Amino acid sequence: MKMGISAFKRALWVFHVATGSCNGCDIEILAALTPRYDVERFGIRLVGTPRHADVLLITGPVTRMMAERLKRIYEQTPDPKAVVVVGSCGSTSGVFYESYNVVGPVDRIIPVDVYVPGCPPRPEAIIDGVVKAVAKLEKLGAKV
Amino acid sequence: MAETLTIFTGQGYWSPLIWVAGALGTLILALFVWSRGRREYKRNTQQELPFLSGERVDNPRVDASHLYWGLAEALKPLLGRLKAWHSGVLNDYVGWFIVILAAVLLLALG
Repeated sequence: MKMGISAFKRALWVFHVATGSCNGCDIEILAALTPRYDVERFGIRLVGTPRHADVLLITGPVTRMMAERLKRIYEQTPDPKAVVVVGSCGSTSGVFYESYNVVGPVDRIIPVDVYVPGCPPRPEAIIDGVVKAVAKLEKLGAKV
Repeated sequence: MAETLTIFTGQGYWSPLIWVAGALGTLILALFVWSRGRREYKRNTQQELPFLSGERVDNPRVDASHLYWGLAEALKPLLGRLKAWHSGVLNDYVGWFIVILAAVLLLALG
């Protein structure tokens, strides 16, 4: 059966980082792993360390304490890599805009490839974002 | 040669050749796993350090003491007191030895 996802040539391992989210987006990421959406059938799975990841999935605005850690996690992820920001807070700081303990949206700390807006975005939107990251990875993979 | 090197204990045997073969097999297996690793990582960056939830890793080594960290943590009140007695002066240790030996002899003979 043709699934229409020929871009998936290999399993895609994703590392999830919450940089200060309210957990709304995190719950939607978990929903994408449940039997209803079941992203693991496409080879997309969450891993426990950025050292094994192809994609960083980041939720929440970046709090002051998390900025340095986020940078380090990004540096520890092997190349080629893609960064997907899930939710309005990670994309723009959302309701936490210019808060005293928020450094800013994710792209102020590390380069971002895909933005998935929403508060929280639906699992379909998150899956779409990860698929867009695959396209970027394939482009980078050709160079490496 | 194998027979002259092998020690038979009556319960079993100990052969250095088997141990050398085992070590070589392990080395070859380790080299194979290592050769399958990714080589395009950036040297002298964070990519060389272990992942610790994004925390800075100052000492990326597993020390021997890490193996019994839980035990040491659980026995902290006792070990702390023993450490305080640990002066590092030989005279103190010999003194403790004589006192404890005397106590044991008293208990055993009395």
